[in-house]
Amino acid sequence: MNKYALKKKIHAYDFAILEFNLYLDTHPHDTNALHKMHQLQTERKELVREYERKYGPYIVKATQVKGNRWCWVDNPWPWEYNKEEDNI
Amino acid sequence: MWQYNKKLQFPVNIKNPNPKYAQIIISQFGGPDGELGASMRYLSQRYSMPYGEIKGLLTDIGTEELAHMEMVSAMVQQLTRKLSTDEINNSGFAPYFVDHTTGVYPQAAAGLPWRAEYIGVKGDIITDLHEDLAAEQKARTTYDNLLRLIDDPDVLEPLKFLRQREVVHYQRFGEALRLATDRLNSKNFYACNPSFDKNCGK
Repeated sequence: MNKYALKKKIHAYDFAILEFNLYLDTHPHDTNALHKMHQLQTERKELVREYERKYGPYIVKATQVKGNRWCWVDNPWPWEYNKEEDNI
Repeated sequence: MWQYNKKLQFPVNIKNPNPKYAQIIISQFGGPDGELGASMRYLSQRYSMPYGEIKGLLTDIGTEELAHMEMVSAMVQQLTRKLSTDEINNSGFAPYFVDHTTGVYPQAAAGLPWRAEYIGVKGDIITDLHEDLAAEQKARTTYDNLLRLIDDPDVLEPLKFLRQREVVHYQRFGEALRLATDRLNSKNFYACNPSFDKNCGK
């Protein structure tokens, strides 16, 4: 999977996990949903590992130190227009 | 506490700036039914909620609204980049421009700045959840109105996503109201206020 496709797939997992999060707030005893949530989290972790192995950090974190530069401050920031399709 | 993820919840990449669209979309940042009010409403109501499920729901939806606020702000920012003075004069954007240049300020489409009067925190679980259900529908209507006025697919896609989230949040708040009333006296939900009265509810 190329960088863009893999990132898009992780985003889809993030969205599904959020949906389960809200659903579980009002259905905390739904064991099927709990199981599915756990499965999604495991699969997501694997995808992020694959992304980071191939392309570097999936999301730059404020606590991350990489080499001799504080990458957190690097452009672009998420709200900025970027026609490169891998900036999603 | 919160941590920032350096990404948007849903991508916003708008090729063609359009200040007309920016000045109506900004209402979903700082207007009466916008995302700023949504987040402040839910995150403030949490403290008087007696039940864990609903504390969790208000926290999580209130947090998601912050991400929506960021998406709406990103849309406004991208729609107003690289404007010429002619474009500003001819698009009706001049009154906003004179006060804020192309900064993103929380206001309604008609120019009113964001106000705390847009939100309610009554300290009563049934009252507050009804406010939340109404708020989600009002935001949904606002997105429907925006979708009627806009024809750029780059702008429509994130707006459609945000509209759909209002519908999902409405569904979850409906379940929260049901969870609350299930714990109250079924003959009279209003016999006491579980957010305040001791020993109120089952």
